[in-house]
Amino acid sequence: MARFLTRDGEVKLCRTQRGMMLIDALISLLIISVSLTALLKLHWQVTRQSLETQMHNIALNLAQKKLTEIHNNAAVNYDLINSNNDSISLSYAKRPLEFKRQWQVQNVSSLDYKLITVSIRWKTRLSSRQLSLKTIIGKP
Amino acid sequence: MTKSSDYQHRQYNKCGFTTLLFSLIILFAATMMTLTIAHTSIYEQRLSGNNYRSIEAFFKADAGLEYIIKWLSITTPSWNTGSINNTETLQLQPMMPELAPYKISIRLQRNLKSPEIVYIQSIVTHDNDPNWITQAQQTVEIKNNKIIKLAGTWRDF
Repeated sequence: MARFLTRDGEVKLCRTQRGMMLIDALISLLIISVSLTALLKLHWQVTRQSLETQMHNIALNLAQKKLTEIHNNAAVNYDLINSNNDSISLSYAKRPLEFKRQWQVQNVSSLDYKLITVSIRWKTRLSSRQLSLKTIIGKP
Repeated sequence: MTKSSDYQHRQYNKCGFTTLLFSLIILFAATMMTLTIAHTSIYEQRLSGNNYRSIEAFFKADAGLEYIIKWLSITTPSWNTGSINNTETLQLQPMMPELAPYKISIRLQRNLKSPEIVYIQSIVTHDNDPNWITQAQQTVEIKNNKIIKLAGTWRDF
């Protein structure tokens, strides 16, 4: 039974306040649970988005690396540049990642140059993503 | 009423308030933490997007350079003679639909003292954002319609 002090300093017992602390605690727990669930969901989405951003950065680096490699090879073996593809497996934050890289070479005969397109595909939990880089390499 | 009884009086009436206050503090801390992480994530995404666009634009600018070097090897450009520092310039906008949505603008410049040395500047702008500018530069030497790529700028010679 709850007790309270009156303004005159007397201790009185109040039957109506029985179990009030428990109800307070339960309501607080309910509010915290609902709010934390929403916050955790948001937190999970943000974490997933952050991972996807990192994967995008990795894919961009891989595409850039390939395009630079083709560019450098062109100075030595221009005629040997052909379309091809490869697959790259990496691990990021203890998660296995797989990127499929494809490079297409189109000959443009009018000015004797090659149009190079490097595309990278990768899968996230919910969808599959792709990015591509294009450039032109002239015959040396 | 004494001071101690007043204190006890407040304590008895505010038992539930402490729990509520504690809950609110925890909630506030969790919200702030999540918002900070969300803000960082959005910033990371923006950074990644900008990085992608700048790399993409740089390769397009490089493509513009390669294109114009090929063009120079088969064409004799008609230069616009300027009055400043004995220079001649030429502005070109090659049509390269394969590099859309980027627009390429090429600027050629040479010094009349050494006309075989040409400084090429390839400037790339995005169709949707004209303020987004990326450029690549190359100096070449033209000898008997043959183009030799040089390091540095034409001002070095």
